[in-house]
Amino acid sequence: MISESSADPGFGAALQLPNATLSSVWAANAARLGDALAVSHWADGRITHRYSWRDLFAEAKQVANWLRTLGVVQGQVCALLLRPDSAFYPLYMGVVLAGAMPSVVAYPNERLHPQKFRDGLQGMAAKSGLDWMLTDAELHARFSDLLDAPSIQIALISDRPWKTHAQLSEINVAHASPDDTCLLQHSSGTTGLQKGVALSHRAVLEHAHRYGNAIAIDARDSVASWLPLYHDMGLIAAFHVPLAFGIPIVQLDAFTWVVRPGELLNAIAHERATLCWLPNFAFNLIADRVRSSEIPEDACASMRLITSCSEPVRSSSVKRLHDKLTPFGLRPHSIGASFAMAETTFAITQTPIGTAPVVEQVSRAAIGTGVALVATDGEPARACVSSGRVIDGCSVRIVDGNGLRVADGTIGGIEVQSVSLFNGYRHNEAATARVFRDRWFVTGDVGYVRSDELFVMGREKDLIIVAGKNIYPEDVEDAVGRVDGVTAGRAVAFEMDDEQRGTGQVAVVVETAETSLDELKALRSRVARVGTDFDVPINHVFFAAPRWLIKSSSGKLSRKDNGARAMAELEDVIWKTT
Amino acid sequence: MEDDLIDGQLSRTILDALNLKAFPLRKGTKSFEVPGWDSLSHVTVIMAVEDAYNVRFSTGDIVALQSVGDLERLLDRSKA
Repeated sequence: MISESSADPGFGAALQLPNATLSSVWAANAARLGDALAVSHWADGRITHRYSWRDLFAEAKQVANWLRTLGVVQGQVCALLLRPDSAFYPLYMGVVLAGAMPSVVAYPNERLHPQKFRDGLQGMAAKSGLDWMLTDAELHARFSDLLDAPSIQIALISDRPWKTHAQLSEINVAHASPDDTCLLQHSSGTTGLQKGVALSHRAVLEHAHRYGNAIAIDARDSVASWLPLYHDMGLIAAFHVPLAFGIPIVQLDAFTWVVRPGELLNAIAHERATLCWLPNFAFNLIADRVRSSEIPEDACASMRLITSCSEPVRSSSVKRLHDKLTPFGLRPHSIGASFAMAETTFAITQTPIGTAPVVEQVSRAAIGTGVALVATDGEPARACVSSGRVIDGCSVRIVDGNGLRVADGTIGGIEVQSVSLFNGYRHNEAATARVFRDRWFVTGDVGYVRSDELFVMGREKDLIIVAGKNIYPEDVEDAVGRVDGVTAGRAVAFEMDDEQRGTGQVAVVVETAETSLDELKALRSRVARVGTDFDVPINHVFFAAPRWLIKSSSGKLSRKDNGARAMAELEDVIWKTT
Repeated sequence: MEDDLIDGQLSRTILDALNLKAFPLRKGTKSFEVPGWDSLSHVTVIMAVEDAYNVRFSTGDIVALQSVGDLERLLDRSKA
């Protein structure tokens, strides 16, 4: 029997104790909340498992005992590589209770080439030092040659082998220091060059506490999420934050969500969830690919905050989701935005509760000169959406190319500080040193601040500079991706050298189903015309067959990789007529 | 191998959803082998088939699909 959680004077108290660790906070929550709902796991459109706090913590202690029996020792890294499954939650927590560091790894889907998966895993193992691989029998059979590497020990988790073990006694739970690393998160990428972000107990709990305050979290809240748990938004916002406060987690299988995005709304309606985090593309998917006739009445009546994060926030997407869900009870000003990254545990900024993200129409001509001037009427403009204001314990500064702070409204590199900063990239001091300047973390993102609001415009390394003019590839891709004949959203913009003029040129690779030469010529003209519409010369257009563009494991189209591949394989990539 | 091709109307529905003019869809064809049929367009294909045949598939049935032939069989069961 799982009871509804209710107002509790102990809410969040364990988080603020001086020597708090994940284990101590979870133990306090289990004792405080007992039969209250901890996790509701959904798959195939239905609840497949519900954990009370008592049951979840008890099973986590069984996992910890099982791991100790296997030989897992404090400080080792345990990679968790399993399909979305309700066994994940006690397994993850059990690794922490045993004193080891969990690292959630993306389960390979059938589209991922086996060699890319091998490269990625081998890179992770070599760079981060994966001591254990906790996985299922199916994956072990598929990759036994790789997983059986002498440096990695395998433990199969199918059928929950820990269920025959006693719970690890409280006295044997690993006693960690708050500054010990408690988990390892890997940045996206499939190249094997992923860096392991090491986070301490203190960083995770400080972040939960301060971010919880920023979103006014309370005992009546619950989180609904389909986000994969190898990503910081899923792992921190939708898993660690609710675990730290003891509010329910409603977790959907990501594979289910992507074929039936409306399932998220069903789960929100059924569980009366109040908080949700989504990347921008999910806004569009829900707005466009969920039939209104299949959304439960008042599905969003309980929802008080949907936060857009991890992708540039588009005002059109925010409006579309708002318009879609308002008839189903979504209240005004319940969509916000956040700027976040794994290296700062998660969030740096958040839209203040009860307000809508600030949107500015910024002159494209001014952007090209590095200044975010509000456009005059009729002037070509870019809608810039604020990611909100800096949360407690964090700082933001905008700097120029020399690392000097610039005035509000000036576009520059975004650097941040946080009390929840990571412990560095594991086993990679050189990479860690490269991302700091005067104790500020260099995010690699570009944007500006105005009236204490942070506007993120894109990634610095992808910036295209043509004759001194800054062009953000997101802008080009957004426009080209909507050209008739281009597979929607499947365009990548990158810079090509113009040796003769000594500057860059704009190139795009687009996916198209068009096959005849005449059609491709016409499409090329349409793409080029879009560029001239906002004064961006598109000099090179590469046509590729659908599904040619490479995505990283986080689902983002890689500009660098796709640009290099387009230039190298051009003859092979054109979708030829037959 | 012509007899391996799926029903013509179903094939046209799928290809239209993917904005493809032509592609041989066989019973054993997997979605990732078809240009443009990725995880995000999967829901577009499913909705197009459901609308064209006025049926609704369960989420579990959709998740279990492994090939175009599976989709054809699921459709036949749903119409029955």
